[in-house]
Amino acid sequence: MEYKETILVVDDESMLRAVFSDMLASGGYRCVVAANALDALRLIEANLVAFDMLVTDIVMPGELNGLDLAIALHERQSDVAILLITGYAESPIKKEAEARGYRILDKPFRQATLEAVIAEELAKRRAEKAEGSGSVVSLDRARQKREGH
Amino acid sequence: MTHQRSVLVVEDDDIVAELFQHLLSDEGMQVSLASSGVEARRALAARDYDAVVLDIRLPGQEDGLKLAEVAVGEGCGVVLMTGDHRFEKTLIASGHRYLLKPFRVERLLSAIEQAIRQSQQRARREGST
Repeated sequence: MEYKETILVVDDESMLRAVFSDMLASGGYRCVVAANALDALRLIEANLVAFDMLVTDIVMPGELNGLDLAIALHERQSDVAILLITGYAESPIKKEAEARGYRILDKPFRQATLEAVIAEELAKRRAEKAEGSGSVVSLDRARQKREGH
Repeated sequence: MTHQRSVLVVEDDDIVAELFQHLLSDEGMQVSLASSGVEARRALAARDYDAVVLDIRLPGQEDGLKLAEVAVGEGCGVVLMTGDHRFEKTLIASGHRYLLKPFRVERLLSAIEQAIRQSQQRARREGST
């Protein structure tokens, strides 16, 4: 069975959602798209699927913003990669997101830039996971040392 | 040509049901949705499904395990899910395929395939006795 990384995309603009879906599908990713922050939050709270990445606009209609979604998903799935997108360079939410260490991409951007940033964040996540599994190696080394190998 | 899998998903949350529909249809499966145990029983009686995907706790506190047995009786493969990992032992004991939430989509797909194979083996055993 083909392994595909699963990305949750949240954007209230239908044209951008279509661009994201096409781009991610052709990049070999599995894309789950939510049209607003509330639907996305319901998906996150259901905690059904393990996501590899969240790509979301920061400012959306309604009370919820992209940072709220990032925090909600991070609470449930701590190893998920996050990319926040914004057209408001000076917004306080963007500053808070930066302070929390989330990756942010300013609008407007080229599609190639978005593709590169997504690939980079997922690669970083894979490397962190591999680093985590490195402890198995070190435990094994410790055992070999005890056994005098 | 491979036979198109028909899967009944029992899920009362419309947005989660939509997610199942999207994920499984993308893999070429024919997806039907039931929003309650009662609706699922009706669907199972009305037509044949290759597999049923359901939570151990159904809407209205109905027991997912009981519905799973109904599905087995109808010749379906069963995939049970739970977000409450304390139920894992119960799920192992049930003998059905199961998934702990959150799960990777690949695990869902392979659990469905395994559940279908399990039901086919069961049918062959019953046919030979």
